[in-house]
Amino acid sequence: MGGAQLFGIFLFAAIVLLTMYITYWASKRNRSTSEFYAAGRSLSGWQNGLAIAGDYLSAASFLGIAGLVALNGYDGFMYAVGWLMGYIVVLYIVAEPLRNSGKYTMADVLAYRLKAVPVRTTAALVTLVVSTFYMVAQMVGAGSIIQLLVGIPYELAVIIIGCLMVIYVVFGGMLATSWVQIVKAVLLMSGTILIVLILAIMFGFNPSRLFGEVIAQNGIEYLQPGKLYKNPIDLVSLGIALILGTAGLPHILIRFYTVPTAQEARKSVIWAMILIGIFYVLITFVGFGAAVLVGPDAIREADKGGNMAAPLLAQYLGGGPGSIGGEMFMAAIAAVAFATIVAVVAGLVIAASGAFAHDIYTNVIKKGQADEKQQFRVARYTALVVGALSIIIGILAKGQNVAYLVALAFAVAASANLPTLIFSIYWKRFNTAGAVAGMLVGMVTAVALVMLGPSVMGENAVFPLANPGIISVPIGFLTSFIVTLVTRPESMEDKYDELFVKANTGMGAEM
Amino acid sequence: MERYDQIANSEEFKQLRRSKMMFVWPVVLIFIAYYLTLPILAGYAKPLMNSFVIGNVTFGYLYGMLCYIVAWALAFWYVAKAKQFDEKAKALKEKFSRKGA
Repeated sequence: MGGAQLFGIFLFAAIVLLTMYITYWASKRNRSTSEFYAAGRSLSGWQNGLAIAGDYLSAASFLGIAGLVALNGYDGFMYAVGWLMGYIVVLYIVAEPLRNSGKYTMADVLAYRLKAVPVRTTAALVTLVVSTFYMVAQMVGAGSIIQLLVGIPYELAVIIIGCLMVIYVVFGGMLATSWVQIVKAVLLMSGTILIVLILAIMFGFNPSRLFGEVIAQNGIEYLQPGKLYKNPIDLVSLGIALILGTAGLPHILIRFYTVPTAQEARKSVIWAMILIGIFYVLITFVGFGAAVLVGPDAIREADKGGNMAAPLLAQYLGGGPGSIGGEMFMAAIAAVAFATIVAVVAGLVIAASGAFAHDIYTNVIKKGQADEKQQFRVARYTALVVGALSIIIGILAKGQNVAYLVALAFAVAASANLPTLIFSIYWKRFNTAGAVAGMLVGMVTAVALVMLGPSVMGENAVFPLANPGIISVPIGFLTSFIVTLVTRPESMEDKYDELFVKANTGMGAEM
Repeated sequence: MERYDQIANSEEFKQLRRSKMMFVWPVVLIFIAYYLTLPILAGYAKPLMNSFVIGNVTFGYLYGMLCYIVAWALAFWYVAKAKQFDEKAKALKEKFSRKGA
């Protein structure tokens, strides 16, 4: 065994030990449902901002986008831009009202003024669907990436990641998950900054020189749109899902319950936007750098999808294949990718557990009558089951092309969750029928269009676009709107006043 | 909980609500439309996107980078605005908690 391989194993062990210590520390404080779902609302704005970045920046962003840029140039860069933009919607219209009027889940806000049983059931269903799509994409990606980077079999990689996330969540709850995400955000940002810093020194801190080299090596079309996306409407459709979907992602929304006030929630979005934005700007340089220094052929040879672009670039910058520096840098980047994956899946497990345990069990089955001890126990059992199911689904989905599932999760979030969330907070006349119909129709439309589209049906696609957002988002909004208007107003208007005052002033917010 | 509808019906709250909605919604809608111009230009204005502006840096790259800068600028603008809303909300809370007591 070479020195670099030992170094890699040492790094993996260090990350696992550190996160286990965090979990041990958090487990002593993880004694109630509020601790389990919301970290006791104890995080500060910047801590939650780092955790949001850790929750959001997945391996698909780190390895996938670097590869997309390395193989397709400008189109990959343009794809990366969309991922930050949704946070404006989060910041301006969702984060603070959500923090002020909810408790543990997205459905809390809807159930405040609408009929609790139907809206909670539907919202929980949508949350489970969104989180499952996201989770499957993460697990399959994780399995193949770890296999590629470390050389352990796919199934074993999925089981290791699954077990780690279950331990973090079941024992350490949201507090452990948040700190795992914070550690991951620091590692991921440091790794990316280090790569880009070395690149910047090589190219004299001059992007123009890097782009000149891209033209010389890869051809001018690398700097031009159209290499990957032939149909502009498809890209607009993806853009709609990204910009509106972020504010409907359950695992991002629940992060705002971990801070004590709306002001801290606001600060956390600002921190998250700074980190996430810098990350996406830098990751495109990693991609262009890999295109020039490693070359698309070598990247494709290592992995058809381009996932090895960033690790191979690190290897080159460290001194090249076979050199101690190169192998060590690559092992470090592999360890960062590993930390990235476990942090994201842990966040998803909490979101899914909340939807089942808090919405369905406590508030629908038990009608809010479950005592604190029961709620806490059910929450942790649910997390255990969700984790086990994720491992099984991850193994079953081996070898499937699941990259489109992340975009689909955003599309469902934008088409089903966002309309209901916005109308609940901002529209007095909105009613339960509109909410339930909007969520179901929005979700079914998004899923059906993807099933009929080229991602699933290939050349025989009935629906021409890979991304359903341009159709399914308007349908989600319109269904909510029209169904509300054709059904009777609800007699809960005073509840709406209460919600709106709370949402805008923070009076009576959960502490 | 009549305190809440007292607040909801007060002139001060209605004014807070109006100023907030008049700020938040136009900004968000314009921003969404603005961001969607990026893929539209990339699809239908290739010569513009492909033109070099500074050295080997294309217009398309700068336009994409501008999206990040606009998003960050809007984030800080929101923080500045939200501080004003916070103050109004605080005044409201104080007024009505005194009345309620």
